[in-house]
Amino acid sequence: MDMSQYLGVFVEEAKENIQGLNESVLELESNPESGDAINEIFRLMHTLKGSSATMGFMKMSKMCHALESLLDSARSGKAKVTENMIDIIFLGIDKLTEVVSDIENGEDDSKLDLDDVERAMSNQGKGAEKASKKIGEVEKSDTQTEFGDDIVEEAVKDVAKKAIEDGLSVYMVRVELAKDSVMKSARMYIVFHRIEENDGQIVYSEPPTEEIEKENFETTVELVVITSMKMEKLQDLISNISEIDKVIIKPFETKENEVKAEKKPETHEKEKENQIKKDNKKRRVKLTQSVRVDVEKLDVLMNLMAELVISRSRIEETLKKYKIKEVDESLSQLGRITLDLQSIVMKIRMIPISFVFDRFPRMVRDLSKKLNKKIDFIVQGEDTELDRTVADEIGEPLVHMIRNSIDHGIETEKERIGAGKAPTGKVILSARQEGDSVVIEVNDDGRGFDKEKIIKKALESGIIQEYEASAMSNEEIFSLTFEPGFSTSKKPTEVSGRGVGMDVVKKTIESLNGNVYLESVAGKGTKVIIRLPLTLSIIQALLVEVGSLVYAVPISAVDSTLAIKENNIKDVEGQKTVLLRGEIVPVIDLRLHFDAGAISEKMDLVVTRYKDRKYGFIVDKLLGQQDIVIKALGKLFKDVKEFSGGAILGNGSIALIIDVPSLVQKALSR
Amino acid sequence: MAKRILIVDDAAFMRMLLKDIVTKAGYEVVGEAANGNEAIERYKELKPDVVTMDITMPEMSGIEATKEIMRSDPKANIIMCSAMGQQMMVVEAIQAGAKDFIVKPFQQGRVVEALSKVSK
Amino acid sequence: MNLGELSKSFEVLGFKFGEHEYAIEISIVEMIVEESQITPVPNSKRFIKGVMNLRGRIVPVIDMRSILNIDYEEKVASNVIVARIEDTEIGFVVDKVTEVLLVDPTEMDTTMKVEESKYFKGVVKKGERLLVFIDIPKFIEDKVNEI
Repeated sequence: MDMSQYLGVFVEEAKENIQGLNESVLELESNPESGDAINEIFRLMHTLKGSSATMGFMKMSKMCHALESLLDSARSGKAKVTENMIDIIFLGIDKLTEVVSDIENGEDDSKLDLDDVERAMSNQGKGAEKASKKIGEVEKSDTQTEFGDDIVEEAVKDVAKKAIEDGLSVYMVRVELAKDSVMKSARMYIVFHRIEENDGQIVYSEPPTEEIEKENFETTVELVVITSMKMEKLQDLISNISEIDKVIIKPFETKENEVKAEKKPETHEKEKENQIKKDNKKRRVKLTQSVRVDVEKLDVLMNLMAELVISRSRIEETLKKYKIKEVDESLSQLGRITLDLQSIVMKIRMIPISFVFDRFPRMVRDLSKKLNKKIDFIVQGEDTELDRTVADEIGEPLVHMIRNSIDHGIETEKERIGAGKAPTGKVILSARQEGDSVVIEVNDDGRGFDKEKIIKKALESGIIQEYEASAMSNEEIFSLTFEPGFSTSKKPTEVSGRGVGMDVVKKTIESLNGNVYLESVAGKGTKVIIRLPLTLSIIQALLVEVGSLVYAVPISAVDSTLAIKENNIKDVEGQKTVLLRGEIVPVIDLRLHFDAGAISEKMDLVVTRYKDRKYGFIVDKLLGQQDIVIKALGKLFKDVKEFSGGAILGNGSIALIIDVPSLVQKALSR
Repeated sequence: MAKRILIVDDAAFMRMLLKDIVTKAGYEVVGEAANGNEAIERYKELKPDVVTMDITMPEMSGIEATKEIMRSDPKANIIMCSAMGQQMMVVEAIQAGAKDFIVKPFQQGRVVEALSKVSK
Repeated sequence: MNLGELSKSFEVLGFKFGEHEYAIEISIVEMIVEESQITPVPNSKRFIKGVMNLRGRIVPVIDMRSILNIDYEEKVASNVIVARIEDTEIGFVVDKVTEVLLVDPTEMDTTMKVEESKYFKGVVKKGERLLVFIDIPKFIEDKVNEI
């Protein structure tokens, strides 16, 4: 059988499993008694073992098996979970991560080296000796069942058994829709939704959810549901959805049902609830991931969408000339549909930021071990959604910032105690949506930045001059830390290196049309705040005319607009300025900057905001506000920093999009 | 006492049709709304037992309105009125808290079934 | 492509500036369009004429005269040759596209030195006609590296 067609799914799922493993092992590390964590690790390892064996990656499967056996004694309660054990498992997980990335790159698992883990395991001492022997000799019986056709059934039975042990009920549910029912998958979605909303977990579905989503089923769906609900309640819940003809529910049969149930008769209600909530959360993640679409396809969709929007406004413009009443209605209908379509396409591109955040707990754990600092790492708002492209780009800068916080921000335990602080340092990573932006913060309670030191350092490295230093606001002082070549740490460290590279962080964020600030109190801590647009592809812009051309200014950078006259403009030391409500605002004449030819007397001023200062742009005419679709200009324009891209307007012409920070910098340095 | 229904649809024809079906089945139509904003206002004012909510409407869509109503009253019973092919939007509405949906062109039996099941 | 090693016939696209004829390899040509509205990009490199809207895509447009190093007066109706070079679409404004020519290796002279530009790769002789062969991909590669 050709397995290559499943490779993509295998890799995706393996990554998910590994991520889950990282989380659970972290959980186990902080709570070594946690049976839940051990069970979860077992479950994930088991899945990984089975699927890698099925794909023919036997080494990988062996590795999973070895790690599984390592924890065996701990699961059965015979041995305690030791730090050493955790280290070995993490080592193993790292190896698995590598091998999955090899496989993703078209290789196989032959590079996987079992020796390190094996060695570590044999050094592990008594408890694990047995396990270390097992490496490399996966018993036949063990793998054979995995190859079987009822692998799914087996898995379901496993899960069911466990649930029954935990005091939950497991049911087989058969749902029959009315024969003439339409939109069947949405109908079934209600069934799924109701069950999950009421503490139920669907562990099996025939046909599988993907088929249901594609509406590849007649009228009947069979489910296995784990829940704390009584049978009658479940029956009621589903029957009370319209167009459902029949619901048949019976207890799910596993042979060992009764025996196991007796073994562990009562679990606390609360525990039960927690278990279900946790499982539900996981289940939901699975569901959102069940529709896998190539990102490239989404980009194509987005482009087509943009072209549709443009064609629509072109039609609208043309038809307006003829004032045909009958067209008006269908035109506004079309407008509505395109708007809906647009917002859906945008939504498809959004992913929860947990996609980026999930890898950090493990990173922090490794760092804190390496640096011997105790860190309490808190992640908040991981459900916040943002555009896939933004998410892809933001990972690296965040790695940088978190490393900085832990390496330079958080003090050693000794220092902290000496300073009267809690011995464990705290780093909070949070995300939230504010209007059209996503705000990400990295907040630590470490030593903070000393303003005097920043200034001293900036003077030394020649970033600022003496006379500038005295007039700087707090914000300006802190923003110096983002300047190229700036670093307050005297010695380079292994973790963050020299020069820290906050300037790179800033560059990346600005290239995403975002901005970054730093706030700090010496001795108390540091907070870095990133603000990013929700999406990169469509922005609100103010269209302006300069010469014969139209330019777009992102609304996010616009403060206000006003009409001005030549005599409002004053020359202050060679710099054109205007006085706005008592504030002296430097102005840039875009007609000169863009070499627009003849200069008319009538003009407007667009007041923009950059780094908390105002800058005026002189233009010929304001044309109004519009949603535009950003398109890149390409590498031939790499040197033209003042434009972040171009947009195609309704009449087919192109408006260049002004990048306010770059234009201000360039124009004022002239 | 007859259950009280609020009908939301931008097309007057649809509202009329639904009202006929609903009234014949013994329900009381206490109000109508032609867009999402109106629906929210009328809901707050009338506190109906069930809302039938059209999805595509001007100003504010049925999905937005559903979200808003669920926010102000998590117990609200909302039935979406969908056209064929709006499967995704129905799913979104259900996520937002809608209880059920009916599909245009309406069949009397289906409408009544949904109403009776939801208002149980 | 290395023209010196060519043994088979190959196709080129010919174009004109006044009476002067030039040719480029046909494999990179995607389409030929009438010159429409070109939006200049202020402060960009001199050889760039601007950007144009090609079916909803924003495509940079290069003035072919800057490659040829000729100072030939611009005509009103010009053609734009749209080429695809390393997955990027780039437009080149020329005076007039003439035709696609099948060139026999014997008609290609790479020894003849043409001094005006380092992107001249040889001369195609078609009876009385002489077409200067231009290496467009090399030009773009150099320019991208320069920027």
